[in-house]
Amino acid sequence: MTEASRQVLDTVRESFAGNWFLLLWIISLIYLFFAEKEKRRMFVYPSILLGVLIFNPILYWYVWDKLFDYAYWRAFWMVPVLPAIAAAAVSLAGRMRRKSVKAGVIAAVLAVSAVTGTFIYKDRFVRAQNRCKLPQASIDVADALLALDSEPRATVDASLFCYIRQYSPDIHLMYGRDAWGYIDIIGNGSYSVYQQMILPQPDLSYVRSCMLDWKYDYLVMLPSQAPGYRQEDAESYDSSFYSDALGSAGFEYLENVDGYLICKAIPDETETE
Amino acid sequence: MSILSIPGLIAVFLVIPGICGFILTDLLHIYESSAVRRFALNLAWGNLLMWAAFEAVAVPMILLRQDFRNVILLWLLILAAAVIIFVSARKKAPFIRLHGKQGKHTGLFRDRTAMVLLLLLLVIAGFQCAVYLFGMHLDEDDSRFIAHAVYTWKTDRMLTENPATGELNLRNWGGDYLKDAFSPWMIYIAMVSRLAAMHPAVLAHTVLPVILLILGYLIYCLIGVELFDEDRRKALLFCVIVAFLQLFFAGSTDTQSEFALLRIWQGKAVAAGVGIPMILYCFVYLYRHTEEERAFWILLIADWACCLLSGMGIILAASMIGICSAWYIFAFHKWKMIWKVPVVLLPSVCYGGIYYLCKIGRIVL
Repeated sequence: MTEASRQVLDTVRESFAGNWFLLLWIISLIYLFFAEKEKRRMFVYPSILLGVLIFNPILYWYVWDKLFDYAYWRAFWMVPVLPAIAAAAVSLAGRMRRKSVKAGVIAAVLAVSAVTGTFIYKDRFVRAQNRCKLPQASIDVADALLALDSEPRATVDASLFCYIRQYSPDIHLMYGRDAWGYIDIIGNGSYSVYQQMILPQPDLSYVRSCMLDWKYDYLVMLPSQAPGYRQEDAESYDSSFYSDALGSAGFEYLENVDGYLICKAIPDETETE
Repeated sequence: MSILSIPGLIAVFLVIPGICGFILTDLLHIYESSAVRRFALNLAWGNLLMWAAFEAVAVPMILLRQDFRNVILLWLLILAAAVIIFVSARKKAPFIRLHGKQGKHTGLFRDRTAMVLLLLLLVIAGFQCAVYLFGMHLDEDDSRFIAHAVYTWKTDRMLTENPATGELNLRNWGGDYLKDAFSPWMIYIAMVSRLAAMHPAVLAHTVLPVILLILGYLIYCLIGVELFDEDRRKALLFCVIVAFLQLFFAGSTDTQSEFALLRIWQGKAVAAGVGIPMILYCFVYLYRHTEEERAFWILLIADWACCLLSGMGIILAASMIGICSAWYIFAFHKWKMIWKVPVVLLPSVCYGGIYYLCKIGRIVL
């Protein structure tokens, strides 16, 4: 049981990191218990019951860990933390006679929550680039691929594969988020291509042969991955450089879209025949 | 999104839930003491009834690999049938019933303090909505959820592809993809997109967050109404504080507010931002109106609706309803209602049970 207690404590510590809301919840329930007798049965006791059962190491060991698997922390959502703090604040303010004192109490509660908490939007949102709220490059690349083929089969850079199919299901990818071990077990072949494509200088002939074997036509890659690319000469590179560089690896350079090179795998002449 | 989307959005988010909620709350005798609150209640319950009906229709159709259009048709037919039966059955009864306490309050617009609090709530919730409207939060989980929705919206096939790659996956659902078959929230998004003539990514990332956030705060207002004996000012203040606290309930990525304010379009986040507050409201209502035993059945709809949201929704709803029902029976001596608890938990038990049997290979889909 010591192990269970330690795991519960660790999860609680991680889940409530960056704020004091768990402490505020406990204080709120203690306050409500003494100050609002008629709310005990309808709110305070059920909240305590939920807390006691959910943060319980014995139940964690025998129930929650099995039910919630890796996400025991989601069980904490059942504990009415915010409603309890808000109810206590309203109740406390309601006991004050003067309006200014009421406002002061509420302001103090909000200030304590703000100071001890973490602002939720900090570094989490950026300005929307389009109506789909997807990276603009992923939409532009998707549109470019769809202009080339009605149902293009492509291998795309890791910075794009999470978004392209949110825009169009007509684009088929050799690998997507599964390359990061998400849910599906990716095939060894696809994974080896992914491993190449995250290198600064991938083995494009290997990538090409895999693409042709599995009938993927288009490759979307970073310019810096083109053979012979040198950062110090980057400004002088034009489409003829990329045509030559990619041509030597068996790809036809098509266009540069938002900083991504789109190229097509050229089958060997014997394969074409 | 075009101007043509507006009638569809109004129908799906206002008219249909309004009517469905009205039917449900009237059947179960759940009333609020003012027309505004009744409207809020109807919207909240209407949405949950729509979700529950969709879960009932969609899961068997997905397992039988039926066409997506049949799901939409059947869902609309079920809702239409419910409305027709209800209207014909209640022809002679008063159409809008409110709690007897109606009229004891002054009008909202005459209550200056309440108006100030409402304004404050609008500012805070409006700020959160504006972030969703004009901001962009990239979440990699969408490569599964939204990709599924877009695929269904475009092809009329449901969960037959690997969302990461587009590869057809007709044989079985591996890993967490099996959960999607039992909690097809993304298919619901696809359906609303179809009805509103809108790309699912636009709906999920822009429209749905605003609707769901407002729905969440409506529910918190209703909780406040029940907690503070229908004191409008206290209920509004309660909601203002909750809305403000949500802004600072972060630090780790695990909190309820993180899911409600950053990615509420995903099923598990809907459970955090709407489903769980709704269950809390049910119990606060039941604990306060102990004589309204018929209202207990609302938990059946709540549980069913949460099953649509995510696998986590199935577990969370069942756990919370189980614990809070136990308290209801024990604390209010409702021993005769014990048999109702397993009945209201049936959706979770059925979907969860079948999912488990599939997972361990006892059932092959």
